Amino acid sequence: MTAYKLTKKCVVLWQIRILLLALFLCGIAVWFFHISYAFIFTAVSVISLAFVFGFWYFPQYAKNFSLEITDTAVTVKSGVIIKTVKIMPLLRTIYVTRYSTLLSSAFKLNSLCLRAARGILITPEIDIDACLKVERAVKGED
Amino acid sequence: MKTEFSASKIMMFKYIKPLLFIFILPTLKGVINYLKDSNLSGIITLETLLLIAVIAFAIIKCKSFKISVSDNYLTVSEGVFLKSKSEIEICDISCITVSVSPIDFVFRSAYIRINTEAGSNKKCDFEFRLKRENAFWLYNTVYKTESSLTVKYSFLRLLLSVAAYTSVVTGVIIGVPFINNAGKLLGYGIKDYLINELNAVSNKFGRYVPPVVNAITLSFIFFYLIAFIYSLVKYGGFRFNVGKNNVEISRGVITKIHTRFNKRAVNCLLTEQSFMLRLLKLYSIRLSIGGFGVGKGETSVMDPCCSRHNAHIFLNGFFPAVKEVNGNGVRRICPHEKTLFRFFIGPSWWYLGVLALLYAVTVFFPFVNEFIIFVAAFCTAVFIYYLTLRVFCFKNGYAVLNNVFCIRTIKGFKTAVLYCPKEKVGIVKIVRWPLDFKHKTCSVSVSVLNEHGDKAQALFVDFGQVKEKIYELYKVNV
Repeated sequence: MTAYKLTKKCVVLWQIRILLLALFLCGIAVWFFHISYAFIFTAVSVISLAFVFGFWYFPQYAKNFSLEITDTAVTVKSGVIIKTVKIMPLLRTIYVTRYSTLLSSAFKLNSLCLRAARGILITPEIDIDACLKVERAVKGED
Repeated sequence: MKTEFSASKIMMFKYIKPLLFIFILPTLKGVINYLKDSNLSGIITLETLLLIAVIAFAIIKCKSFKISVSDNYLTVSEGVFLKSKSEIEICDISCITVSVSPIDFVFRSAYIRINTEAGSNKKCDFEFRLKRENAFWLYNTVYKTESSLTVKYSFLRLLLSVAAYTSVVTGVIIGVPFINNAGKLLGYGIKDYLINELNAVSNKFGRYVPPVVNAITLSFIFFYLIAFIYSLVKYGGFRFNVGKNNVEISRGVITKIHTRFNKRAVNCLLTEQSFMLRLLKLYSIRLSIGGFGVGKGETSVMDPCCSRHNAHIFLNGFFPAVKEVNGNGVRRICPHEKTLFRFFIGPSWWYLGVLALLYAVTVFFPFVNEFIIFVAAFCTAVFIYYLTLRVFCFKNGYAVLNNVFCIRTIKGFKTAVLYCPKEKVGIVKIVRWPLDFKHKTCSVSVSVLNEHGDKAQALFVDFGQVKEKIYELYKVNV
């Protein structure tokens, strides 16, 4: 059995995404200030949520996440408040898709999507080596 | 040996098609008005810039698409901001479809759809356009051409098939958007014109039948005609080639569509009979293969209307083990003789509920009494027809739990038989209501392991026999 965790690079990647999203939403809220000052609360809420997700939720998620590959199945354990375990038998997995964005490519991370009949398992960004290992396991090459 | 292809240039239209009526055509109209009147508003400038950006993005996205074929694998890479790369084993591809529309004919391209059992129902795994020669090369590589038996339909048989399988609902789904969009494009109220004509004709017979009833009947006939013509064009030239391993289905008059799949990719087979098919003693055969029939308005119907003799040839061709199901000595688990009244309970509750609702409507809206009477009469006719189907289910329904599972039942307003090899069965559900304990019966529901999620249920069959067969097959005590 081989187990993979989310790296610090993935946490930083998501913190950057949350920051960009928060900046965008705050920008919209600031633009609407001239209509109503109530949008200040929107901007403050967005910033608070960004802090919570960026500095507490996602680091905890990364700490609890693990991807395990055995001879028979891929198991993903994740969750912060509600913990879930998803098991996808390798025999039932039909193919794997790797996703990357500009940012994740810069960090050498890919996200995986394992597809089975009426089933789909998506992982957050993990190391490219881990993704290739999962692909090889699904193909039966390992 | 690895071969790589890029998408055909006209694939960029796939990415701008969703914006065609809501953004692109209005912008082009604005630009044309500017050229005519030299009157340029700020909005049009912005829209034109956005249009250029959208087209540029579509071109880049089209150029980023790559498909490479090696001995055993097919790799599809696409995306601009969100890049994806999928590697599929060729033997996991359940079906491949190549279609050539008039636009593809002009641009020497072909539209390919590759499907596996993964993904969601009614959504293709991969769809793209390649140059025509590349597309057919890929088509013949995934499933090799074999010498095969060709079955073609005569024009009369085709007309009969299309008439039996066409529905008003299909006509509405196709006709309504077409009429709306055609009206917008031409700047002419086609929809209003049709409604006025419909009202005029309905009112002419208003003395004998309420006008609203006439209007509904005429609308049904109109949309049925649209669906009939559409299906005729879609299924014209229908033929299938059955080889040793592969099956190819070709159809279409304006757009030629070829679909190829391997026999072992067939998850289950359904033979269905609608009311008209039952009268004509014909069957509709539907195959379940991942991705077959996911195109817009498509169904996975293999043969929309064939005789009993041909249906058996079909079944034995795909599932030789079906002989085992239909042969002598095979135990069919049938509904218990004391459960006839239970087949009427569900529909009766539905009917009473509808009557109560209609009565409530007449109390609050007395001016629609005539229409309500018509609706009540229609519901009564439907109820009586559905009761006859339930009687059919009682007399002829059965379950066979063997190497090939076979359930004969009703699905909606059709009678159906589901054949599914044991390996493709997903879930077997056994349900027992309080009365089932008294009669020692149960309902057996079989779901197929495929993206369609086909299922069939045999009602109120003998529980002892089901228990025995389940233990024999799965070593599980129920």
